[in-house]
Amino acid sequence: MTGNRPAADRSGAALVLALLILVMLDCIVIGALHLSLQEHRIGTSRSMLLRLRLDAESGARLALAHWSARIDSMPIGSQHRIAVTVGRPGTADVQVERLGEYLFLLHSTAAETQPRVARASARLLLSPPPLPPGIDPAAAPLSAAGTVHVVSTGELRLPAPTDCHPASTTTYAALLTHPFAWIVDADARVDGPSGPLTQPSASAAYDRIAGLAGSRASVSIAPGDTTIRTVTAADSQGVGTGPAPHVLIVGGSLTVSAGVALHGLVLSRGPITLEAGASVDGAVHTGGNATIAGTITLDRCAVARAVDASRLDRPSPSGSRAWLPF
Amino acid sequence: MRNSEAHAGTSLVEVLAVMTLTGLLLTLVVGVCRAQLRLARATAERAVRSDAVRTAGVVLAGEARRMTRADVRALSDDSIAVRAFRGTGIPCGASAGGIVVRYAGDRLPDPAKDSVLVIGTTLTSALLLLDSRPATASCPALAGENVLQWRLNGSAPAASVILVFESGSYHLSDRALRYRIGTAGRQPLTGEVLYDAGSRFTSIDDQALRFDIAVDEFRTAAHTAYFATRGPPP
Repeated sequence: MTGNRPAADRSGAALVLALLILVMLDCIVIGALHLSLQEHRIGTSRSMLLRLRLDAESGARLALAHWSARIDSMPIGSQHRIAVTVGRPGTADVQVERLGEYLFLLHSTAAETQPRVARASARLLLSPPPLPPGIDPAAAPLSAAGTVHVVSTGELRLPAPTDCHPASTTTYAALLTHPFAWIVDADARVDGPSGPLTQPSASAAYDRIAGLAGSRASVSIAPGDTTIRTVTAADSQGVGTGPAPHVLIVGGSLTVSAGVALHGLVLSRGPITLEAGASVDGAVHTGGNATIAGTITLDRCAVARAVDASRLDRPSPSGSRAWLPF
Repeated sequence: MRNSEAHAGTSLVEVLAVMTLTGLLLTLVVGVCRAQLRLARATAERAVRSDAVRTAGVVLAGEARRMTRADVRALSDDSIAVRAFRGTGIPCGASAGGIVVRYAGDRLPDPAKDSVLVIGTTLTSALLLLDSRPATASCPALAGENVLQWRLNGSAPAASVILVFESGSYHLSDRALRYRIGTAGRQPLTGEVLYDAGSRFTSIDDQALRFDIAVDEFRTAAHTAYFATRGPPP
């Protein structure tokens, strides 16, 4: 009996030693596993946060597409909430706040679904669309706040009904603030009567359009004048076919000389003179008088393309710091 | 007697065998332990390095996301001086000698180290923040916003947004990413595990800041931190 005891002791020591080694190895394995899991969790969290941040930014961008007359006419200091779907089962909660006449703030928040709590937000400072919602910039070939004089060589044309011009849309050759400020010389071609210039109108919104899209002082355009491209808010190369339509915004008077052909939307705060032989395909709006010796042909498609290319009808980020840090 | 003598001889052989086997076993165990310890240490070091690289990338990318190119005042291989934005205030009223703002940010403004950038409809101007304290006037604040009363060394239009920033610099030096506010010392933001020769700011343009973070001679991660200039919406 006594001879067997030492052997039993040695056997116990080996077992303890083996157990200790196993415990140590277990600790190392568990530690490595823990590190791997932590890395995985960190990676998952980062990708989730990135997705939420992109969702929040997408929400702010998508909210721009929801721009409406209601948002546009919010009182300064008021807020309006929009829910925007941003793809994969998420929505962004967007709050629009009006900070000033021409300054809005979009606050977009994207959050994980409950019970998870991660959230990200994006703030976008923006200017409203230069052309207020609800205004038809091609309601007639010409609109004027002052007197319109169509001289004998002048023409105000309404096009035949097409896809661009459904038969029911336009019947007036000119829209006037004062119904009696309408002089048409003999031999002048005017395809319709004059009508009342109801509010809101493109000419009434001149200050806003010029303030947001920029304008140029008095302009006299002669044939071959290449500066015409630089005064427009648009550069619509590649949009549609035919001559590229533009938006021309003039702060003073505008004179279009014989031989000049404009396509698109023309806005002038001061008087407009269209000399014989000059033409505009699109629409003309003036805050002053208009003397028409040339031809204005209403072209709703050209106006639409010009407005689209110049983003006149869309809100835009305000300045180079539009995306706010917080 | 014979049995006893034979038993004694056997014991010696047994002892020698046991000692040899024990020695071998111990050598094996010690070897395994040392290898495992080296492995554990290497894993821990790798975790610390990964954390440092990740922290450096996240900090600089997060900072860049709040800035534009104009907010980078100076750039060299190992440092970048920036306007570090810490919060945004939206004017919502006036108070005696100042304005009332709704403020949200990383921390509350500190006039001792902060300035402000006023972003209006048409112009942007930098002003000093002379005083900031909780406002007594009421102002409808959103969740997470504080209502504060500020005094600036100039006027801020009502239709504006005011960004609070501190002047700071980030340094990739002494084996860590460090941050320095004004003339204070460089505080490490990561563990001191980076490889100085491979960690540097590489280039900058209107869109992004680019930098490398290296943990040794052979392992370098190139990062691009984009500024808050994302172009027009689609």
